[in-house]
Amino acid sequence: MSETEKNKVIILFLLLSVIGIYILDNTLINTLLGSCRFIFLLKPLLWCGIVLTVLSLPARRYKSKLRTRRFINSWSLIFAFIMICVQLLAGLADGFGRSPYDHSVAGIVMNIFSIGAVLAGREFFRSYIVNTLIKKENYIVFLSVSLFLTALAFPVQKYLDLQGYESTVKFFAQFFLPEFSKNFLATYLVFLGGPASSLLFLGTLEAFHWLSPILPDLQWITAASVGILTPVFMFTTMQSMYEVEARERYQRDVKEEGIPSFIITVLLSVGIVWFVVGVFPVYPSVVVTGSMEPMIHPGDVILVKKVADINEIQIGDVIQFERDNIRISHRITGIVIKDGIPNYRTKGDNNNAEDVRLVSPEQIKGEIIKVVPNIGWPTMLIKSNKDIPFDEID
Amino acid sequence: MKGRKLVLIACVFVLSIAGIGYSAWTEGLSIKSILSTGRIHMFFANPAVYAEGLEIEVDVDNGVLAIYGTLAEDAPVLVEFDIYNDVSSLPVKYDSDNEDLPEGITLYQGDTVIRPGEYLRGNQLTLVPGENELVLTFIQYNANGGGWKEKLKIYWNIAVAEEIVEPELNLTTDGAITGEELIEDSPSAETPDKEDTPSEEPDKDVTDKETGSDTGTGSNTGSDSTPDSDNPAAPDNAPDHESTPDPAKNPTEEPATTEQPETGETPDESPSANESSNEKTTESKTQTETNEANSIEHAEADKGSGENVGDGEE
Repeated sequence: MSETEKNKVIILFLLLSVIGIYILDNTLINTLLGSCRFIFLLKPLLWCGIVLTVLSLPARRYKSKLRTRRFINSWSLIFAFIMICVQLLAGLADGFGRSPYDHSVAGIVMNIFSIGAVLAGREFFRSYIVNTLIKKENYIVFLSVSLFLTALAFPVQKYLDLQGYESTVKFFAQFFLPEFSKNFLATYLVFLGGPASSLLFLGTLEAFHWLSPILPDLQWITAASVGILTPVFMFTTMQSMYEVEARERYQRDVKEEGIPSFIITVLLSVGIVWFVVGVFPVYPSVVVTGSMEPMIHPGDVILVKKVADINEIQIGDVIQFERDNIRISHRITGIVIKDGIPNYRTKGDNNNAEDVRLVSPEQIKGEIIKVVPNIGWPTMLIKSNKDIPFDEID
Repeated sequence: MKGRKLVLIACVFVLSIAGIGYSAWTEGLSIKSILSTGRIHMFFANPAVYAEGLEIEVDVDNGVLAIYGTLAEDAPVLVEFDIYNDVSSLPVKYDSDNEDLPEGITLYQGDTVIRPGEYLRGNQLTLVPGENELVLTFIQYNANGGGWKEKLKIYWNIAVAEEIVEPELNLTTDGAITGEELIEDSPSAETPDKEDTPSEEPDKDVTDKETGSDTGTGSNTGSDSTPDSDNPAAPDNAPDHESTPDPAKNPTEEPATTEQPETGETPDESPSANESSNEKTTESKTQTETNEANSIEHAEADKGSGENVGDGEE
């Protein structure tokens, strides 16, 4: 049997072993053995078996030379701390919550054993596969290995529970893609420096996650942006830094490539899209009629601030509300209490009479806080007159 | 480099899609409100303190039982009270798992679960004079480390009266009305003699008179049972009571109360102040009996009304 065939057999054996552990973890066998016994004893032991298997195999050579190994390990650790800091900063915006994990001494010891064994097994497996399959950077292998390990990171039931676009998009944005992004960076780290590098990165993150008494309680969109972008930026940064450190490229060339400008471009692009579609508390909207002249002319763009508290709305405010899928911006002229709930009487400044129907609180989108003249004309030109139901607008 | 760009572009695309989804699915008005799943409200009820010169008050809203006043002598004070689980939605019990019962207090059947609208009756507290407080914590009956809890506080500020040393007066007696003359002239001299007046605790009465404590209250029940505690020797003490006994039952009442101001004009200026003091003791004793009668009736009335209220709520 040639060396290549032997390697293929070993890789196949390791793949089947990892899949076998996943199946055990997600079937009734787990319950039959006793869930606790499986999670805290059998599963870690199985992953320890993977570690021992890999260690018993001929050692693989990593991309980095010994002299750069320390550099890679150091940056792996630094990246982990940066990632934690970014999450904490995001937590300052979105809030924190108490950790649900057991922080008793026994609980910590058991978690360190069970999580640590799984983590070590995965990284040794990852390292062996990647460094056996490729000697040079290969994105297909990076993506494949990352995707495989990401898919196995979630229980089968999680996939089965996905129903409809909303839950699917939320799951992928909040959990799957951040995990994939993290795995992608870990895969690159094992390619450069072996399992030690990725263990330093992922181990530090897991330690924070399992041992910190409080954890960031992020909205799913924040978790998605932080979880996806941070490892990707770290990957591009690591790539450039390693090339310089290993003298594969000159510092000058890397500077010309402009990694920071790439990162800024990505952030701006995402930010602009999010601003336009209304992710932030203030969003833009183009006005197509003159009912609010002279304050707002057709073609003006208004900045609408989302209403956080309905009690903040007062008579005289100009609000945007949605009725019959049309967004209208008019001024409040009166408040009518119906069944204890405030309803709003509205009127366009340029209209002769008040609007016939009252505006209910759930119809209100926000309050107009700024008018930017004329910059909405391109939007109006792109939209044909047929798209705008003028007849239905008061 | 090419792969790196592709990764970044993929990120922008993915996050843009996520942003569109987020803005679409988070539209609408979110109404935030707080829903309470239960509540506990407990307070002290039917308090009684067995010592003279003390007042006792209950703050229902804050769950405080306050005892204050001045004792004639430094002795332990017995306080009795019920604990009422008012409009709670949960049965409660004393938090004996986490708190040792403070020394001196006895909760009658302290482990009993008190259901909403029920009393924990017959609790006793023996306290020593001074200023102090103790807190009793009651918890949701089935709480296991968490759940609802309510704290009740017993606060006391009890002073012990210092013995007053009567000053030696060396005033001239020329032209002064002696105590004997005063007693002879006074209509109060017509009151029954010392032998005729029931005298259960003559020494105590003297002490009370000297220390200024209220001799009219053997047992203060409720906050309104010692209306004249600030001025215990006030001669018009008895008429202030709502339930004045029939004079026929106590013939000493009328002269004792109506004539007291005259007898008390300048008693100590007389050289025979001690003799006068004996006579005053008799009068004071008579007054004491009257006040005791009033006070007992008053206390019984208070107690009766309190129990009726409690029974009604039960």
